[in-house]
Amino acid sequence: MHELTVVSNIFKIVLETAEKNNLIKISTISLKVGRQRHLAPDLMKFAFDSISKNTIAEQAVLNIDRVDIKMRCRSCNAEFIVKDNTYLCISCGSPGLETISGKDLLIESIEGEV
Amino acid sequence: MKISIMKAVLEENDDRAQEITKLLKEKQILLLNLISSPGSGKTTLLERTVEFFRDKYSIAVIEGDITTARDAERLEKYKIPLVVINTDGACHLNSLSIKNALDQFDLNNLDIIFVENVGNLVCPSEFNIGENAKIAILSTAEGDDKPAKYPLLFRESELMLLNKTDLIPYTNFNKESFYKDLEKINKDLPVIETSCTKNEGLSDWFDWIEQKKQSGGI
Repeated sequence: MHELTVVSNIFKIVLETAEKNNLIKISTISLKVGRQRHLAPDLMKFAFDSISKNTIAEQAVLNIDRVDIKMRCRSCNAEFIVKDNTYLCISCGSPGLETISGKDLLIESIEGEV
Repeated sequence: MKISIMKAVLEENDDRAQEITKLLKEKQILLLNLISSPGSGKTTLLERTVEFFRDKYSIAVIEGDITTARDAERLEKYKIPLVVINTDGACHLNSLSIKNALDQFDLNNLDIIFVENVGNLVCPSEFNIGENAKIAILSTAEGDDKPAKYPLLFRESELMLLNKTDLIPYTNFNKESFYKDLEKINKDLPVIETSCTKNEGLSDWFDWIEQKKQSGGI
């Protein structure tokens, strides 16, 4: 249930940005969330709805883009998407991998009215 | 109006974690973050570990506990610096709570700090606390399927302890499927099999800590 901590951080950053840009209402918040993270989008939305009540972010839509877990093999440089939690190079079988994506947890953008 | 942000949600936590790493490097202190489910044997492991190292190293412990100080009370007998962080329901420790705990220690006179994170296989693995290493602990009674169900912790950890191996005959823990799953998730993860109540496998754990300490936490 760390979704609440994560969403509190999102809410804080979003409100700061809205204030700086003189937004009076926030309609959409776009997020990138890597599939390696144990974060449930439904719980994030639920937490956001509770936390944003009676603020300019009330009723804002959370657009959550789930980012695939992508790795690069340190031995043969092959790049691949991790499936079925298998962190072994699909080309040579090596476990020595470098993360390209999948641990992302980013606020990409917000949309709102000035 | 669309405003581009591109900001990491946990940036504040990560920045503070980096400050902790830097501070502990200066002070030459090793910080180990122990993560497991409730009841895996973290506190017993710490008791054995403190008993082994206390004549050689100055040790401190940070106990993350949702509401009580019961784990810390079990360690009080060793007269080591101890800080309890009550998270009031939160499922993990973060770098701010660790920073506040570190402020209560005399860092000039410490060698190793153990953090006993809140018992939980999910949330603590998402939050860096400036540790030199995360250590995953799994007890056999929890089942052999846990790495497959909670892969992030087993990806993030540098070492894993498979604890309560003495209980295997009384459980349906299947070592073969456990190692098969783990091989897919993190083939390079070293595993030490331990039984803290029977004092088995602990010397390998102590050797690992000693090596980590000697290499400056790397």
